[in-house]
Amino acid sequence: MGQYIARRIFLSVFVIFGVTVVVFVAVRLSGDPAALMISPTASAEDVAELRHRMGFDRPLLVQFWDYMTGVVHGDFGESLRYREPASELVLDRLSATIQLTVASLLVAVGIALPAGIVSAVKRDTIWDRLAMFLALFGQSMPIFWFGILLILTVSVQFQLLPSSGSGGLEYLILPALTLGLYSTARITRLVRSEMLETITQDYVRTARAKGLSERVVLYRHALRNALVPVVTVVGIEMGAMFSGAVITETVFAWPGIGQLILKSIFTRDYPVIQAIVFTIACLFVLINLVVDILYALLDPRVKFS
Amino acid sequence: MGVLLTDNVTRATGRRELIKASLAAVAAGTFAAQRSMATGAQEVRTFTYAFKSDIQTLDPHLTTDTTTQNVQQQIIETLVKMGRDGQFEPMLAESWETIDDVTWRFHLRQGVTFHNGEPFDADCVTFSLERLLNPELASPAAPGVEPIDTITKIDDYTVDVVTKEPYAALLSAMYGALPILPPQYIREVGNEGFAEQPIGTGPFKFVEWIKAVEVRMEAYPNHWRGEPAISQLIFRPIPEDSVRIAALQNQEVDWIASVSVDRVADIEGNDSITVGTRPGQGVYAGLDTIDTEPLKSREVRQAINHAVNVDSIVEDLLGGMATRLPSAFFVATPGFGSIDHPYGYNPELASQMLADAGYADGFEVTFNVAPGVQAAQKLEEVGQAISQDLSQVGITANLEFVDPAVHSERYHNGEYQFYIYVWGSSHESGRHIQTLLHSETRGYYYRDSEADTLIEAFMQELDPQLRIEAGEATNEYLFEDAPWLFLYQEPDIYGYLTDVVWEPNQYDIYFHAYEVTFE
Repeated sequence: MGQYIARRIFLSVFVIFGVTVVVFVAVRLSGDPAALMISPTASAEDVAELRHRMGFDRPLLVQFWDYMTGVVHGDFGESLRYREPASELVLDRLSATIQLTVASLLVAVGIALPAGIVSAVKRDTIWDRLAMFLALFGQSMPIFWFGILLILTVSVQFQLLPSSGSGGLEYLILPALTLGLYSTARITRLVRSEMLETITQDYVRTARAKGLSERVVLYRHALRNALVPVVTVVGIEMGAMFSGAVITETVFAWPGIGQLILKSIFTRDYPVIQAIVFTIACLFVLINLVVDILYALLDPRVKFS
Repeated sequence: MGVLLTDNVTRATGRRELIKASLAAVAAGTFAAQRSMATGAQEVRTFTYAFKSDIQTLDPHLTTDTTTQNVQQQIIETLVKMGRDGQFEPMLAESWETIDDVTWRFHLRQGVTFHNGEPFDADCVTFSLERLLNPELASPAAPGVEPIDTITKIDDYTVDVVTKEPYAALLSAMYGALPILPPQYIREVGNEGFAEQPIGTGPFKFVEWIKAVEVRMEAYPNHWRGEPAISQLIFRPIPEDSVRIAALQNQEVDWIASVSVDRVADIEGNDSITVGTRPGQGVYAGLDTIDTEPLKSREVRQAINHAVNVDSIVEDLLGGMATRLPSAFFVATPGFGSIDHPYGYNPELASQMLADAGYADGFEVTFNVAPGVQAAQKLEEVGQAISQDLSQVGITANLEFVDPAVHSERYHNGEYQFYIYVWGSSHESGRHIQTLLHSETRGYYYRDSEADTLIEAFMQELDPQLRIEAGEATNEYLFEDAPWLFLYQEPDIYGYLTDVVWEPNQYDIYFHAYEVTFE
């Protein structure tokens, strides 16, 4: 397995490098920040001068080489907007996003597991139909809309929770529900279908025939096997949550990297955009690797090739 | 960040629902308690100001963003300040006079200290200018003091500011672009230390900045004006418009900025909220009179002004809250009031004028709009309305939306034919007229020698009354020559709780927290 991990990490370096190149070129294609940063009374010469001072008029390859040599030393450049090291900015905010993502995932799994199991066990009853309807709702609803809806009802109408910002646990609830919405729906449906499949398997019938209680049959035998693909999906959902975090963090004024990357894109803050994409790419790769290993550990039939 | 994930949350089982319900109940209890604390006690008066986007930096020399400057100027002051009557009033300078065409003498306030006790004197003023112009600092705000040649210390409390040419709007530049910084402190802690822990002479002392969460300040008891009514001042960024309004409705914040015209109805009916408004950014549609053939003709440009129903744009798209501009001058610009007859909406007259100018069949131009540039409201809809109106008289304005970053570049390259442009700052200086319409500053789209002469006279006339007259003459000439399709100033709309005693200043874009008192 050690070899497998080493090989995966080796390949990831190429993935991350590829992502870096694509983002580097893409942001520079969209116009440079010099004109955005300068004061409104500036002339065309002032803009050109600032562009030159920031090095944006150099050939793309030169800029890229400069950037990569910095990255290798952990230097992602200085934020054009904040005039601080981009890496510091990202690291400051990263924990907030991870907190939100983990909380959202826990909410999602916490709701989806019981809902999916109940749906499968009570298949085709009112509970099943209700759960599936809500799952469809959850997968169709834009999180932007859902987040604001939660604020308007839970916070403004019913005065139960603060509307935005960060601080104690009460600030985390609504954003976690919002960010977890899609995952909750998706995992509910997955758990349901996996459970349905395992329930009909021979070994489950055997377990029942042995006289084991329904509860033991469900949890010890069926669920355990149903969970294996769910683990994979949870990992993928976690990666996808980083994109959802952009919207959720902006709606709830949650101080993470999602809000930061949105702001950076609007202000063409290249170093920060690049640093965040690099970070997310690394996290993605790491999560996928962990999920694959977990999968192999959970399912003895899977071997590393 | 201080956010806790307790063991309760990690136990992902069926008990979760029960735990969630009790958590919510506890949270509701603490939340309600926090609110009553904030509005209850009189001694510790906390004021929370929610705005759209977080500040950029704490060092005033490193930014040109007005949102950032709005926060900084609670801590750091300038020599003069815009009063509520459109005139500049004393701040760190008690009085001033013009010695000759290019020399202004400022008499500085005595007994003023920075937040660390360092005394304020003439050296601070000369230091501040030097630092701003220091090429090592690479300040984007340096062009703001471009008209200033030198600042000389006459004695400890007198400085002479010498401008390169006679410059009527020097006080504007001093207000908008020359914050006064503490030389001793900066020499001790360096530029980075200052940006982390800024100090100034202002009514509020910096406490802390947690990025994307809040900027926190507290009252400075030794301020030369006395202690402000607000004891704790907090600036909170809430990017999403409806969420910012929700925060005000919940009374989680005392004051919100950047309310859009569409949202005013949400808060207007609310008894505990006051809505205040003032004329904000100027919006106009520029015409390329240099390279685009039909627009070279004055009659065509005037026809365009007649063809577009600007009143309807103000009424229907901007809720009647925008201020229509008859000509190029803004409400606060000296000389504004002289034109009482804006171009009337008259499509027949416009068609006639176009025919007379040789364009009976109309013509085609590209019409560039950057929606959301400088957070201006509804530019897409305004662009569409203009385009539609023009098509009624045979002018095909092909609407092309551009991203704000791209827009800036293309504008400065002179690529546009017909475009919407937004100007935010220092309307009282007349600087926008000089920058946008004088041939030597930008000159990409309009170069007129007579306009140049009038603008120069306007920018160099130091006598206030004569300056108004020069402004009126310039305003009227530009009205006739119509280098733009004249539009409006969009409204700056604020919402604040009714116990806050404050009114918007029609002439000043900055919010001065020390002016706030409570009922």
